[in-house]
Amino acid sequence: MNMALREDDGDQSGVTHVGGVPRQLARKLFEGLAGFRELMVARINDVNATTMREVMAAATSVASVVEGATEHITRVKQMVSALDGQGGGGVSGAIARQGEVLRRFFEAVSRDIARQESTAQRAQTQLQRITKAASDTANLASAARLLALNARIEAARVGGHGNCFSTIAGEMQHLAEQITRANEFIDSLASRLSQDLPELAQTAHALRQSSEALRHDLSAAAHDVDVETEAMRAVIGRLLESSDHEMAKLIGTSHEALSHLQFQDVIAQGLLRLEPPLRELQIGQADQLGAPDLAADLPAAQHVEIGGDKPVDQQNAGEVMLF
Amino acid sequence: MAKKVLVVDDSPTVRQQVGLALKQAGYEVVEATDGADGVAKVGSDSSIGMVILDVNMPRMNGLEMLETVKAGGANANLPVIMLTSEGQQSLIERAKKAGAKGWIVKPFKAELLVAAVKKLLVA
Repeated sequence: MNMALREDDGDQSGVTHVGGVPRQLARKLFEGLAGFRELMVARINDVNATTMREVMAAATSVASVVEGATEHITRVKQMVSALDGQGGGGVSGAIARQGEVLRRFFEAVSRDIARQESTAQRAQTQLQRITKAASDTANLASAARLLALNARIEAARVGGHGNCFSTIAGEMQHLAEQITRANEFIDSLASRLSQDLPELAQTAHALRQSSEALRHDLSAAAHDVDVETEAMRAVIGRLLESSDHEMAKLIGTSHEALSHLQFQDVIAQGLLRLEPPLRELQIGQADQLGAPDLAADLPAAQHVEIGGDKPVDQQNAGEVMLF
Repeated sequence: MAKKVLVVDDSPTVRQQVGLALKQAGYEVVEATDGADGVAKVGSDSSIGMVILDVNMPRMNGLEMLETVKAGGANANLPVIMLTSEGQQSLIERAKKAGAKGWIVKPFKAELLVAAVKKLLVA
Protein backbone atom coordinates (compact mmCIF):
# COMPACT_ATOMS: atom_id res chain seq x y z
CA MET A 1 0.00 0.00 0.00
CA ASN A 2 1.45 3.33 -0.98
CA MET A 3 0.18 5.99 1.29
CA ALA A 4 0.99 9.59 0.51
CA LEU A 5 2.76 11.53 3.16
CA ARG A 6 0.14 13.45 4.94
CA GLU A 7 1.35 15.40 7.89
CA ASP A 8 -1.39 16.99 9.93
CA ASP A 9 -0.97 20.40 11.34
CA GLY A 10 -1.21 19.02 14.81
CA ASP A 11 -3.93 18.77 17.45
CA GLN A 12 -4.70 21.17 20.16
CA SER A 13 -1.79 19.88 22.23
CA GLY A 14 0.60 20.63 19.34
CA VAL A 15 1.47 16.96 18.55
CA THR A 16 2.38 16.36 14.89
CA HIS A 17 0.58 13.44 13.23
CA VAL A 18 1.44 11.27 10.23
CA GLY A 19 -1.36 9.12 8.82
CA GLY A 20 -3.36 9.69 11.95
CA VAL A 21 -0.52 8.38 14.18
CA PRO A 22 1.55 10.73 16.30
CA ARG A 23 4.90 11.17 14.46
CA GLN A 24 6.88 10.38 17.57
CA LEU A 25 5.05 7.05 17.95
CA ALA A 26 5.54 6.30 14.22
CA ARG A 27 9.27 6.92 14.59
CA LYS A 28 9.42 4.67 17.65
CA LEU A 29 7.60 1.88 15.80
CA PHE A 30 9.94 2.29 12.86
CA GLU A 31 13.02 2.30 15.04
CA GLY A 32 11.71 -0.73 16.91
CA LEU A 33 11.43 -2.65 13.67
CA ALA A 34 14.87 -1.40 12.62
CA GLY A 35 16.28 -2.67 15.92
CA PHE A 36 14.54 -5.99 15.41
CA ARG A 37 16.03 -6.22 11.93
CA GLU A 38 19.52 -5.44 13.19
CA LEU A 39 19.13 -7.98 15.97
CA MET A 40 17.84 -10.56 13.52
CA VAL A 41 20.74 -10.00 11.11
CA ALA A 42 23.24 -10.09 13.98
CA ARG A 43 21.75 -13.38 15.22
CA ILE A 44 21.77 -14.80 11.71
CA ASN A 45 25.41 -13.86 11.28
CA ASP A 46 26.16 -15.32 14.69
CA VAL A 47 24.37 -18.60 13.87
CA ASN A 48 26.06 -18.75 10.50
CA ALA A 49 29.48 -18.12 12.03
CA THR A 50 28.92 -20.82 14.64
CA THR A 51 27.64 -23.44 12.19
CA MET A 52 30.40 -22.57 9.76
CA ARG A 53 33.04 -22.99 12.48
CA GLU A 54 31.61 -26.35 13.52
CA VAL A 55 31.16 -27.57 9.96
CA MET A 56 34.69 -26.46 9.11
CA ALA A 57 35.96 -28.46 12.09
CA ALA A 58 33.99 -31.51 10.95
CA ALA A 59 35.12 -31.03 7.34
CA THR A 60 38.72 -30.64 8.48
CA SER A 61 38.46 -33.91 10.41
CA VAL A 62 36.99 -35.72 7.42
CA ALA A 63 39.60 -34.16 5.14
CA SER A 64 42.26 -35.33 7.55
CA VAL A 65 40.86 -38.87 7.34
CA VAL A 66 40.92 -38.71 3.54
CA GLU A 67 44.46 -37.30 3.44
CA GLY A 68 45.64 -39.84 6.02
CA ALA A 69 44.11 -42.69 4.03
CA THR A 70 45.67 -41.40 0.82
CA GLU A 71 49.11 -41.04 2.42
CA HIS A 72 48.79 -44.50 3.96
CA ILE A 73 48.01 -46.19 0.66
CA THR A 74 50.86 -44.27 -1.00
CA ARG A 75 53.29 -45.48 1.68
CA VAL A 76 52.02 -49.06 1.35
CA LYS A 77 52.52 -48.87 -2.41
CA GLN A 78 56.07 -47.55 -1.96
CA MET A 79 56.89 -50.37 0.48
CA VAL A 80 55.40 -52.98 -1.80
CA SER A 81 57.25 -51.52 -4.74
CA ALA A 82 60.53 -51.78 -2.79
CA LEU A 83 59.78 -55.42 -1.99
CA ASP A 84 58.24 -56.36 -5.28
CA GLY A 85 60.96 -54.87 -7.43
CA GLN A 86 58.85 -53.51 -10.25
CA GLY A 87 61.21 -52.10 -12.88
CA GLY A 88 64.20 -54.16 -11.72
CA GLY A 89 64.59 -52.71 -8.21
CA GLY A 90 63.61 -54.11 -4.84
CA VAL A 91 64.38 -57.27 -2.94
CA SER A 92 63.16 -59.71 -5.58
CA GLY A 93 65.12 -57.80 -8.21
CA ALA A 94 68.27 -58.09 -6.07
CA ILE A 95 67.71 -61.84 -5.65
CA ALA A 96 67.20 -62.23 -9.38
CA ARG A 97 70.39 -60.26 -10.11
CA GLN A 98 72.35 -62.33 -7.60
CA GLY A 99 71.09 -65.53 -9.23
CA GLU A 100 72.15 -64.23 -12.63
CA VAL A 101 75.66 -63.40 -11.34
CA LEU A 102 76.02 -66.91 -9.88
CA ARG A 103 74.71 -68.49 -13.09
CA ARG A 104 77.29 -66.58 -15.17
CA PHE A 105 80.05 -67.51 -12.72
CA PHE A 106 79.27 -71.22 -12.92
CA GLU A 107 78.99 -71.05 -16.68
CA ALA A 108 82.49 -69.53 -16.83
CA VAL A 109 83.82 -72.16 -14.39
CA SER A 110 82.23 -74.94 -16.46
CA ARG A 111 83.77 -73.57 -19.65
CA ASP A 112 87.24 -73.39 -18.04
CA ILE A 113 86.95 -76.91 -16.64
CA ALA A 114 85.83 -78.25 -20.03
CA ARG A 115 88.84 -76.56 -21.62
CA GLN A 116 91.14 -78.11 -19.00
CA GLU A 117 89.62 -81.55 -19.61
CA SER A 118 90.11 -81.17 -23.33
CA THR A 119 93.73 -80.01 -22.83
CA ALA A 120 94.45 -83.04 -20.63
CA GLN A 121 93.04 -85.34 -23.31
CA ARG A 122 95.18 -83.67 -25.97
CA ALA A 123 98.26 -83.99 -23.71
CA GLN A 124 97.55 -87.71 -23.38
CA THR A 125 97.50 -88.05 -27.15
CA GLN A 126 100.77 -86.10 -27.45
CA LEU A 127 102.32 -88.28 -24.76
CA GLN A 128 101.40 -91.40 -26.71
CA ARG A 129 103.14 -89.89 -29.75
CA ILE A 130 106.22 -89.01 -27.66
CA THR A 131 106.32 -92.58 -26.29
CA LYS A 132 106.10 -93.90 -29.84
CA ALA A 133 108.87 -91.51 -31.01
CA ALA A 134 111.05 -92.57 -28.07
CA SER A 135 110.48 -96.19 -28.98
CA ASP A 136 111.49 -95.44 -32.58
CA THR A 137 114.61 -93.64 -31.35
CA ALA A 138 115.46 -96.61 -29.12
CA ASN A 139 115.26 -98.87 -32.17
CA LEU A 140 117.52 -96.47 -34.06
CA ALA A 141 120.01 -96.48 -31.18
CA SER A 142 119.94 -100.25 -31.08
CA ALA A 143 120.57 -100.35 -34.85
CA ALA A 144 123.39 -97.84 -34.42
CA ARG A 145 124.98 -99.98 -31.71
CA LEU A 146 124.76 -103.01 -33.95
CA LEU A 147 126.26 -101.03 -36.81
CA ALA A 148 129.10 -99.78 -34.58
CA LEU A 149 129.79 -103.34 -33.47
CA ASN A 150 129.94 -104.56 -37.06
CA ALA A 151 132.20 -101.62 -37.99
CA ARG A 152 134.52 -102.44 -35.14
CA ILE A 153 134.67 -106.11 -36.23
CA GLU A 154 135.40 -105.06 -39.78
CA ALA A 155 138.05 -102.58 -38.64
CA ALA A 156 139.76 -105.32 -36.56
CA ARG A 157 139.70 -107.65 -39.55
CA VAL A 158 141.29 -105.05 -41.85
CA GLY A 159 143.95 -104.34 -39.25
CA GLY A 160 145.96 -101.09 -39.14
CA HIS A 161 144.09 -99.60 -42.11
CA GLY A 162 140.83 -99.87 -40.18
CA ASN A 163 141.92 -97.82 -37.17
CA CYS A 164 139.98 -94.75 -38.25
CA PHE A 165 136.85 -96.90 -38.75
CA SER A 166 137.38 -98.29 -35.29
CA THR A 167 137.42 -94.74 -33.86
CA ILE A 168 134.21 -93.80 -35.70
CA ALA A 169 132.61 -97.08 -34.56
CA GLY A 170 133.58 -96.19 -30.99
CA GLU A 171 131.99 -92.74 -31.32
CA MET A 172 128.84 -94.29 -32.81
CA GLN A 173 128.74 -96.73 -29.89
CA HIS A 174 129.07 -93.80 -27.48
CA LEU A 175 126.35 -91.82 -29.28
CA ALA A 176 123.98 -94.82 -29.28
CA GLU A 177 124.51 -95.18 -25.52
CA GLN A 178 123.78 -91.48 -24.96
CA ILE A 179 120.60 -91.78 -27.09
CA THR A 180 119.61 -94.85 -25.06
CA ARG A 181 120.11 -92.94 -21.77
CA ALA A 182 118.10 -89.98 -23.12
CA ASN A 183 115.37 -92.38 -24.21
CA GLU A 184 115.33 -94.00 -20.82
CA PHE A 185 114.89 -90.53 -19.26
CA ILE A 186 112.06 -89.71 -21.73
CA ASP A 187 110.51 -93.10 -20.99
CA SER A 188 110.60 -92.43 -17.30
CA LEU A 189 109.04 -88.95 -17.78
CA ALA A 190 106.40 -90.35 -20.16
CA SER A 191 105.65 -93.09 -17.72
CA ARG A 192 105.08 -90.61 -14.88
CA LEU A 193 103.03 -88.37 -17.14
CA SER A 194 100.99 -91.30 -18.41
CA GLN A 195 100.08 -91.99 -14.80
CA ASP A 196 99.29 -88.33 -13.95
CA LEU A 197 97.46 -87.21 -17.10
CA PRO A 198 94.51 -89.65 -16.90
CA GLU A 199 94.07 -88.66 -13.26
CA LEU A 200 94.11 -85.01 -14.28
CA ALA A 201 91.55 -85.70 -17.02
CA GLN A 202 89.40 -87.65 -14.57
CA THR A 203 89.59 -84.85 -12.00
CA ALA A 204 88.64 -82.28 -14.66
CA HIS A 205 85.77 -84.48 -15.77
CA ALA A 206 84.53 -84.93 -12.18
CA LEU A 207 84.89 -81.21 -11.57
CA ARG A 208 82.87 -80.47 -14.71
CA GLN A 209 80.16 -82.85 -13.59
CA SER A 210 80.05 -81.26 -10.13
CA SER A 211 79.94 -77.84 -11.69
CA GLU A 212 77.12 -78.89 -14.03
CA ALA A 213 75.19 -80.37 -11.11
CA LEU A 214 75.71 -77.18 -9.11
CA ARG A 215 74.62 -75.07 -12.07
CA HIS A 216 71.54 -77.26 -12.43
CA ASP A 217 70.74 -76.92 -8.72
CA LEU A 218 71.29 -73.19 -8.92
CA SER A 219 68.98 -72.94 -11.90
CA ALA A 220 66.33 -74.96 -10.03
CA ALA A 221 66.76 -72.72 -6.98
CA ALA A 222 66.50 -69.61 -9.15
CA HIS A 223 63.34 -71.04 -10.68
CA ASP A 224 61.95 -71.62 -7.17
CA VAL A 225 62.80 -68.03 -6.26
CA ASP A 226 61.02 -66.84 -9.44
CA VAL A 227 57.95 -68.90 -8.59
CA GLU A 228 57.92 -67.67 -4.99
CA THR A 229 58.47 -64.07 -6.09
CA GLU A 230 55.64 -64.36 -8.60
CA ALA A 231 53.37 -65.83 -5.91
CA MET A 232 54.38 -63.05 -3.52
CA ARG A 233 53.72 -60.49 -6.24
CA ALA A 234 50.27 -61.97 -6.86
CA VAL A 235 49.42 -61.90 -3.15
CA ILE A 236 50.67 -58.33 -2.85
CA GLY A 237 48.73 -57.37 -5.98
CA ARG A 238 45.51 -58.80 -4.52
CA LEU A 239 46.25 -57.10 -1.21
CA LEU A 240 46.86 -53.77 -2.94
CA GLU A 241 43.73 -54.16 -5.05
CA SER A 242 41.66 -54.88 -1.97
CA SER A 243 43.35 -52.04 -0.09
CA ASP A 244 42.74 -49.68 -3.02
CA HIS A 245 39.10 -50.74 -3.12
CA GLU A 246 38.65 -50.17 0.61
CA MET A 247 40.47 -46.84 0.46
CA ALA A 248 38.35 -45.75 -2.50
CA LYS A 249 35.26 -46.67 -0.49
CA LEU A 250 36.58 -44.76 2.53
CA ILE A 251 37.43 -41.71 0.44
CA GLY A 252 34.07 -41.92 -1.36
CA THR A 253 32.22 -42.11 1.96
CA SER A 254 34.26 -39.21 3.28
CA HIS A 255 33.40 -37.10 0.23
CA GLU A 256 29.78 -38.11 0.70
CA ALA A 257 30.00 -36.89 4.31
CA LEU A 258 31.58 -33.66 3.09
CA SER A 259 28.81 -33.15 0.56
CA HIS A 260 26.26 -33.44 3.40
CA LEU A 261 28.19 -30.75 5.25
CA GLN A 262 27.32 -28.35 2.45
CA PHE A 263 23.98 -27.90 4.23
CA GLN A 264 25.75 -25.19 6.22
CA ASP A 265 26.24 -23.01 3.15
CA VAL A 266 22.67 -23.64 2.02
CA ILE A 267 21.25 -22.83 5.47
CA ALA A 268 23.49 -19.76 5.81
CA GLN A 269 22.26 -18.40 2.50
CA GLY A 270 18.68 -19.29 3.43
CA LEU A 271 18.92 -17.37 6.71
CA LEU A 272 20.57 -14.39 5.02
CA ARG A 273 17.64 -14.29 2.62
CA LEU A 274 15.56 -13.03 5.56
CA GLU A 275 17.37 -9.69 5.53
CA PRO A 276 15.98 -8.16 2.27
CA PRO A 277 12.31 -8.98 3.14
CA LEU A 278 12.82 -7.41 6.58
CA ARG A 279 14.15 -4.29 4.88
CA GLU A 280 11.13 -4.29 2.58
CA LEU A 281 8.90 -4.72 5.65
CA GLN A 282 10.44 -1.63 7.19
CA ILE A 283 9.92 0.40 4.06
CA GLY A 284 6.31 -0.83 3.87
CA GLN A 285 5.79 0.07 7.51
CA ALA A 286 7.06 3.59 6.90
CA ASP A 287 4.69 3.83 3.94
CA GLN A 288 1.75 2.57 5.99
CA LEU A 289 2.53 5.08 8.66
CA GLY A 290 2.41 7.72 5.95
CA ALA A 291 6.06 8.59 6.61
CA PRO A 292 8.22 7.09 3.81
CA ASP A 293 10.92 9.62 4.65
CA LEU A 294 11.70 7.55 7.75
CA ALA A 295 13.02 4.78 5.43
CA ALA A 296 14.94 7.12 3.16
CA ASP A 297 18.27 6.48 4.87
CA LEU A 298 17.88 2.74 5.32
CA PRO A 299 21.12 1.00 4.33
CA ALA A 300 20.94 -1.53 1.50
CA ALA A 301 20.61 -5.19 2.47
CA GLN A 302 24.02 -6.83 2.92
CA HIS A 303 22.93 -10.03 1.28
CA VAL A 304 21.44 -9.84 -2.20
CA GLU A 305 20.40 -12.98 -4.06
CA ILE A 306 20.57 -12.34 -7.76
CA GLY A 307 18.23 -15.27 -8.28
CA GLY A 308 15.75 -13.83 -5.80
CA ASP A 309 14.29 -15.46 -2.72
CA LYS A 310 13.23 -19.07 -3.27
CA PRO A 311 13.20 -22.44 -1.53
CA VAL A 312 16.27 -24.64 -1.92
CA ASP A 313 15.86 -26.84 -4.97
CA GLN A 314 16.84 -30.22 -3.53
CA GLN A 315 15.58 -32.06 -6.59
CA ASN A 316 18.25 -30.58 -8.81
CA ALA A 317 21.02 -30.71 -6.20
CA GLY A 318 24.26 -32.12 -7.57
CA GLU A 319 23.04 -31.85 -11.17
CA VAL A 320 25.84 -31.17 -13.65
CA MET A 321 25.08 -29.37 -16.90
CA LEU A 322 27.91 -28.98 -19.37
CA PHE A 323 27.36 -26.60 -22.26
CA MET B 1 52.88 -30.17 -13.55
CA ALA B 2 49.41 -30.25 -11.95
CA LYS B 3 46.79 -28.08 -13.60
CA LYS B 4 45.69 -25.17 -11.45
CA VAL B 5 42.03 -24.54 -10.64
CA LEU B 6 40.73 -21.31 -9.08
CA VAL B 7 37.81 -21.85 -6.67
CA VAL B 8 35.78 -18.69 -6.10
CA ASP B 9 33.20 -18.89 -3.29
CA ASP B 10 32.44 -16.77 -0.25
CA SER B 11 31.79 -19.90 1.82
CA PRO B 12 35.00 -21.29 3.37
CA THR B 13 33.36 -24.71 3.81
CA VAL B 14 32.55 -24.94 0.10
CA ARG B 15 36.04 -23.76 -0.86
CA GLN B 16 37.52 -26.38 1.43
CA GLN B 17 35.34 -29.19 0.08
CA VAL B 18 35.92 -28.29 -3.56
CA GLY B 19 39.63 -27.89 -2.85
CA LEU B 20 39.89 -31.29 -1.18
CA ALA B 21 38.06 -33.06 -4.02
CA LEU B 22 40.26 -31.42 -6.66
CA LYS B 23 43.52 -31.95 -4.75
CA GLN B 24 42.62 -35.62 -4.34
CA ALA B 25 42.23 -35.79 -8.11
CA GLY B 26 45.70 -34.30 -8.59
CA TYR B 27 44.88 -30.66 -9.27
CA GLU B 28 46.50 -27.64 -7.71
CA VAL B 29 43.94 -25.32 -6.11
CA VAL B 30 43.92 -21.57 -5.45
CA GLU B 31 41.04 -19.78 -3.74
CA ALA B 32 39.23 -16.46 -3.98
CA THR B 33 36.55 -15.21 -1.59
CA ASP B 34 34.40 -13.22 -4.04
CA GLY B 35 34.15 -12.10 -7.66
CA ALA B 36 36.47 -9.11 -7.26
CA ASP B 37 39.13 -11.28 -5.61
CA GLY B 38 38.61 -13.85 -8.38
CA VAL B 39 39.13 -11.28 -11.15
CA ALA B 40 42.35 -10.13 -9.47
CA LYS B 41 43.65 -13.72 -9.13
CA VAL B 42 42.88 -14.56 -12.76
CA GLY B 43 44.60 -11.37 -13.87
CA SER B 44 47.75 -12.00 -11.86
CA ASP B 45 48.22 -15.76 -12.36
CA SER B 46 48.44 -16.93 -15.94
CA SER B 47 48.89 -20.56 -14.87
CA ILE B 48 45.25 -20.85 -13.77
CA GLY B 49 43.64 -23.34 -16.14
CA MET B 50 40.05 -23.35 -14.92
CA VAL B 51 37.63 -21.52 -12.63
CA ILE B 52 34.93 -22.97 -10.36
CA LEU B 53 32.63 -20.05 -9.63
CA ASP B 54 29.80 -19.43 -7.14
CA VAL B 55 27.00 -17.05 -8.15
CA ASN B 56 25.79 -15.28 -4.99
CA MET B 57 28.76 -13.52 -3.43
CA PRO B 58 29.35 -10.09 -1.84
CA ARG B 59 31.13 -7.22 -3.66
CA MET B 60 31.00 -8.87 -7.10
CA ASN B 61 28.73 -11.82 -7.87
CA GLY B 62 29.79 -14.79 -9.98
CA LEU B 63 27.96 -13.77 -13.15
CA GLU B 64 29.58 -10.34 -13.04
CA MET B 65 32.98 -11.94 -12.58
CA LEU B 66 32.29 -14.32 -15.46
CA GLU B 67 31.34 -11.46 -17.75
CA THR B 68 34.39 -9.42 -16.66
CA VAL B 69 36.84 -12.29 -17.21
CA LYS B 70 35.36 -13.28 -20.55
CA ALA B 71 35.51 -9.67 -21.73
CA GLY B 72 39.15 -9.46 -20.66
CA GLY B 73 40.61 -10.89 -23.87
CA ALA B 74 43.58 -12.78 -22.48
CA ASN B 75 41.35 -15.07 -20.39
CA ALA B 76 38.43 -15.24 -22.78
CA ASN B 77 39.04 -18.97 -23.36
CA LEU B 78 39.45 -19.85 -19.68
CA PRO B 79 36.90 -22.59 -18.92
CA VAL B 80 34.47 -21.66 -16.13
CA ILE B 81 32.04 -23.91 -14.27
CA MET B 82 29.35 -22.22 -12.19
CA LEU B 83 28.79 -23.94 -8.81
CA THR B 84 25.73 -22.52 -7.12
CA SER B 85 22.51 -23.20 -5.26
CA GLU B 86 20.72 -21.23 -8.00
CA GLY B 87 18.85 -23.18 -10.64
CA GLN B 88 16.86 -20.51 -12.47
CA GLN B 89 16.86 -20.98 -16.21
CA SER B 90 17.34 -17.24 -16.84
CA LEU B 91 20.58 -17.28 -14.81
CA ILE B 92 21.80 -20.43 -16.53
CA GLU B 93 21.14 -18.85 -19.91
CA ARG B 94 22.98 -15.67 -18.85
CA ALA B 95 26.00 -17.71 -17.78
CA LYS B 96 25.92 -19.77 -20.96
CA LYS B 97 25.73 -16.62 -23.06
CA ALA B 98 28.66 -15.11 -21.15
CA GLY B 99 30.78 -18.18 -21.97
CA ALA B 100 30.47 -20.52 -18.97
CA LYS B 101 31.14 -24.16 -19.81
CA GLY B 102 29.00 -25.73 -17.12
CA TRP B 103 26.50 -25.28 -14.29
CA ILE B 104 26.44 -27.42 -11.16
CA VAL B 105 23.72 -27.10 -8.54
CA LYS B 106 24.79 -27.23 -4.87
CA PRO B 107 25.10 -29.33 -2.85
CA PHE B 108 27.50 -30.96 -5.30
CA LYS B 109 28.90 -34.48 -5.44
CA ALA B 110 32.70 -34.56 -5.47
CA GLU B 111 33.05 -37.26 -8.14
CA LEU B 112 30.69 -35.45 -10.54
CA LEU B 113 32.49 -32.15 -10.04
CA VAL B 114 35.90 -33.77 -10.64
CA ALA B 115 34.57 -35.59 -13.72
CA ALA B 116 33.29 -32.28 -15.15
CA VAL B 117 36.64 -30.56 -14.46
CA LYS B 118 38.57 -33.42 -16.11
CA LYS B 119 36.33 -33.38 -19.14
CA LEU B 120 36.67 -29.65 -19.68
CA LEU B 121 40.42 -29.55 -19.05
CA VAL B 122 41.02 -32.34 -21.57
CA ALA B 123 38.80 -30.74 -24.21
